Amino acid sequence: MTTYNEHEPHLIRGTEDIYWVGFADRKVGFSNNPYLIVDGDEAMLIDPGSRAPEHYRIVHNKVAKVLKGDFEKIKYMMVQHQDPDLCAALPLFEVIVDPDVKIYAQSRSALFLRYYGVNSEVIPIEDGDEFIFKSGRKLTFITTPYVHFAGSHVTYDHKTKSLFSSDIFGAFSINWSLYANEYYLEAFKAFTEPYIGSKKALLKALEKISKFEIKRILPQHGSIIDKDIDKYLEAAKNLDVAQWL
Amino acid sequence: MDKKIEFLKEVIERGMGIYGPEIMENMLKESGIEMDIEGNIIFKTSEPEAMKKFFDKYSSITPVAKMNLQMLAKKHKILLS
Repeated sequence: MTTYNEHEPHLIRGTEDIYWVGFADRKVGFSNNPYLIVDGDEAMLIDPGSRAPEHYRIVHNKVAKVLKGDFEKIKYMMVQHQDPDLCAALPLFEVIVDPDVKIYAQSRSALFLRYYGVNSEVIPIEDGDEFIFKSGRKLTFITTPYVHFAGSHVTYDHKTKSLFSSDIFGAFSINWSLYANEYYLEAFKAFTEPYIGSKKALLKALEKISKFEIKRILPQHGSIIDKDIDKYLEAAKNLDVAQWL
Repeated sequence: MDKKIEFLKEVIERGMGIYGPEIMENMLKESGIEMDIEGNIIFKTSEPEAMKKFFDKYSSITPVAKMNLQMLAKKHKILLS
């Protein structure tokens, strides 16, 4: 069992350079999971999250700890869809990170980032596009339309075989733990069944994701899954989604 | 199986994920509901009274549980009072 202090940034187990810099709101049962990849002298902040002061402060301080205060190491930010729980903090971070920061988002989400007051260059991405760090480390972007937004995508890190899954495999839980526990499947259903509106779209997304060898799933909400990956992929295929119709 | 019992069982399953076993077990106990090792539901008081008490507790702690309860009710075509 991995021990961690949720009030500190956490190096994801099995990786050397991916940090969880999020927080859990146990009153609501909703955790927010921004991640930071530190690759040599470059860093990418993924789904930076909320701009509510009590949330932003936590993420900011955790990122500061990992980077020892050197925010300018963040050359890239990426948002995997346009919702405020992922994107609202972008304008707060963009003024402290590298002044030439590039923000990556699927083209259908990229349209909306200006509405948050984002001023940095936004790079629209399409299905299968790749991002390569200076080191040669490769990320592949996989679009997942309508899961749960037209502009959603997930991201595969080839180095660690990690899938940043955005809202897919997210969960609602006040019984939150950073790594999925034995009850996570039900927490995952509680989040996914009402928030994903189409089985066809979900199956298409799962088909695309399944082409990659996945060692861990890093969702934007809920817990990290690094065991029984196949069990979760199978469970996702059988979900009763769009239950709020 | 009675559709209300089927609904209740699914709510309990989801509750294990949302709340964890400790809170769920207390909630069931305080509502007068027991589950035996085979998953059968036993009501310690009248069924409607126990269910109402349980659903009220279930939905009172966090809005995400309330939303989950409403969604499962819709799925099972149960009218919540």
